Amino acid sequence: MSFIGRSSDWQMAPLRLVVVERHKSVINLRSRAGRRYSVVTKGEDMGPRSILSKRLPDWSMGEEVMVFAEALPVCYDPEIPKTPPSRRWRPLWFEWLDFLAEPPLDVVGKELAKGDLSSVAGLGPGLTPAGDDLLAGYMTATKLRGETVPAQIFPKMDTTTWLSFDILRDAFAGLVWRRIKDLCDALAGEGVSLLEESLTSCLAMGHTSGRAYLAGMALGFEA
Amino acid sequence: MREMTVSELLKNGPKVINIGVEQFYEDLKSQDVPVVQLDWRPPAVNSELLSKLHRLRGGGKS
Amino acid sequence: MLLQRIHVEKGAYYDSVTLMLVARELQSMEGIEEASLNMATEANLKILAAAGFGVSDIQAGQSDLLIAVRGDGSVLEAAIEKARELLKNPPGRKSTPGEYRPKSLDGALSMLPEANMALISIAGRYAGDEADKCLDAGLHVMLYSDNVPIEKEISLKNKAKEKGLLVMGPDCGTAVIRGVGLGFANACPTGPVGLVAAAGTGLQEVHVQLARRGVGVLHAIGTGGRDVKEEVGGITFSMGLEALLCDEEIQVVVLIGKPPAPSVEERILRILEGGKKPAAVGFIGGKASGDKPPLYLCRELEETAAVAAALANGKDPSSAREELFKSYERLKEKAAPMKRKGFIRGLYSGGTLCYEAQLIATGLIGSVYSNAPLASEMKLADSLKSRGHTMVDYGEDEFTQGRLHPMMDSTFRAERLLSESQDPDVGVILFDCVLGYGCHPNPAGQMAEAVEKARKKAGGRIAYVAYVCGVDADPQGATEQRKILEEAGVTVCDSNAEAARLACYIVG
Repeated sequence: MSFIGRSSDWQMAPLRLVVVERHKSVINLRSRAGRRYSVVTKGEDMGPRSILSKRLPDWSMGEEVMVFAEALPVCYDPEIPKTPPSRRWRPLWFEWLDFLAEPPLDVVGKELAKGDLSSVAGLGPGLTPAGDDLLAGYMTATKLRGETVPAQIFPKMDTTTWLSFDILRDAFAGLVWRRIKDLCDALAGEGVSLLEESLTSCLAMGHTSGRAYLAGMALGFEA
Repeated sequence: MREMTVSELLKNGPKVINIGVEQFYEDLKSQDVPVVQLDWRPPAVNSELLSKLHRLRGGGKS
Repeated sequence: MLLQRIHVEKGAYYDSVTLMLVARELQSMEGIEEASLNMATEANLKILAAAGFGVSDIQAGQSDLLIAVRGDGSVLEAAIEKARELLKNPPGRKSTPGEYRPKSLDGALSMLPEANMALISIAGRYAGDEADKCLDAGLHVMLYSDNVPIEKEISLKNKAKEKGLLVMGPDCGTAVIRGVGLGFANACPTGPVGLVAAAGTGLQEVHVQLARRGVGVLHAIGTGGRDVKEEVGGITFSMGLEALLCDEEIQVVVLIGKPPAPSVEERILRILEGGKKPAAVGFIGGKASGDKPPLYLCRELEETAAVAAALANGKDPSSAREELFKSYERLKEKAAPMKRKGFIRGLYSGGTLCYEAQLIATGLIGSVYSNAPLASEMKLADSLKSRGHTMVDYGEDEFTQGRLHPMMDSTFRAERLLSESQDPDVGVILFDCVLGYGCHPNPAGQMAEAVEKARKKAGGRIAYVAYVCGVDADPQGATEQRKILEEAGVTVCDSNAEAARLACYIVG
């Protein structure tokens, strides 16, 4: 097996999982309890309940597999850091809201402008709908500030995709993906190049996911 | 306020925000000058949506 | 069958250089005869119409982009798609991994809090307001953009003056601060000389001529051409000059430009005299009314450099000047074996270089026609049709609408060279090749190619004379550029003044 490491929240006991998505460098699986587990081949794609592997196992769609993570070293902790962002970067996160003013995210922007944050759930383009990425970003930013996320913004399960809902559950619980965690660390510091790198990396997530997430963070920082 | 006199500019050398043609940004980088490329856009077409979004920001723009 | 299509991309903005580069990519596509990308301003709509595109039904404003293509009907859609693809990843943009580009001035300042200036080269109709914001943020401004209304220029400079900030421009293409080249500038060594210039290529020529004489320049403050007009009052020129006069690192001051308005010239000279530093004043074509050591008044660019170099080296400026003009006399011998009958046609990318060449030529062979003439009666009726002795400034607005500045691309100029070479009344074709940051990677190559084509048709009937304005440390390499021209049969001179004189002696 080519597994190299795991996230700290991947349980020790053997897991029975079903393959639900295969991408170029990521496989998403579903547990009996309906949670997402992932196998990734790039460190920056690590997140909650993820395993880093040298190459993708050749599991097929719908196949049921048993994963033994006990012996794997922990290579990622998905818990959101406790450090609020430095005020210095405020002009930058102000810019992220503007992502919502142009296509293709303006559909989310227009809904948001009506005033109700939770109504953007399931809205907008992307494998994970942009509106959900925005909510996830909002929750992450809220927690970074040390505040609690109001439960009412959490959408109903049937408003969105399984994967997206799972990501929102994680965000609500303060569990984030590697790129986001790196960004949070950079925002807490004063180093420009570190921030630049992490921003570029986040903006490269999906076609619109990154921008929607950052817009959500901006909202959360300013709430 | 950051205001710096002409003499200070001449003494410290340029540290530039480039607003426009990319080539100038590249040329300044190649001369090891601290420089940032501003991704400039004209005043927005969708300005109504933008101002609504801006009102969601707390505390006003600095 | 040739069809055309104009696609409107709403709410897009790209700078003219990007649009030009994308248009060029489209034009190299199989089946595409003509491609043009422009923001839908009134002026650009007129240009498109003149190029044969049907614009009457276009619903677009100045914040919308027009992608116009003409060619084989089957490839037009593909061309437009390619344009949209390229705009997402513009050619000429080397995207370095991990670079975030802020979209707001505050965002940029958060990333570079020590920023002390903004270099603005966006479209003129927006540039003025952007400059205002930068001044409010306490930044000095270099305004490369032109087409900024003079009223805006005056209000910007008054505001800047109150805050102790410098506004270099509008239409300031060149500046040097602590040896750093801003905009179009040459990679010359630094030294004890400080320049203030209201003329872009004038600055470059003096900068290069000083380097040729082993003298470095620490600062070259550009002011934009209009600064020394009565209405603007030389605000930037005066501020720049005062700063250089107080600067301990500056031993010699050099002033360059076309002659200022009389009241402005008086003010400037008064400041200069009060500063008590040796100075070379190069108001090109002015009435050089006698030196007042340590102030030396010059009429030409190389002359100004020669005098300044002498001042910097502790030599006698008057002798330096005499020697220079003696060396010009020797050009007559050089011209002797090259004698030709006919007119001079000068094709310039540098405005001040064209201006100086006209001044010199008028003194030696009589009046010269131009699109930017010395006197209004010498203005060409059609800038594309030469008459008698003609010198054309390709940097003028009429040629840069919808085209890259000639220092960035000599294609248009090279075409003219070819057509001039077919005129039986032409004896000499004269041109400049300006090197440095911001310029084309191989201007000599572009012109040399045209010269070779021309010589194939016209043989040795026409003499070709050129000047390479640059140094070896420039990205293009002056020595290599000279070689390229010489191999094509061009006689390359060591200064703009030399080249203009040589051309005159060849036909005169």
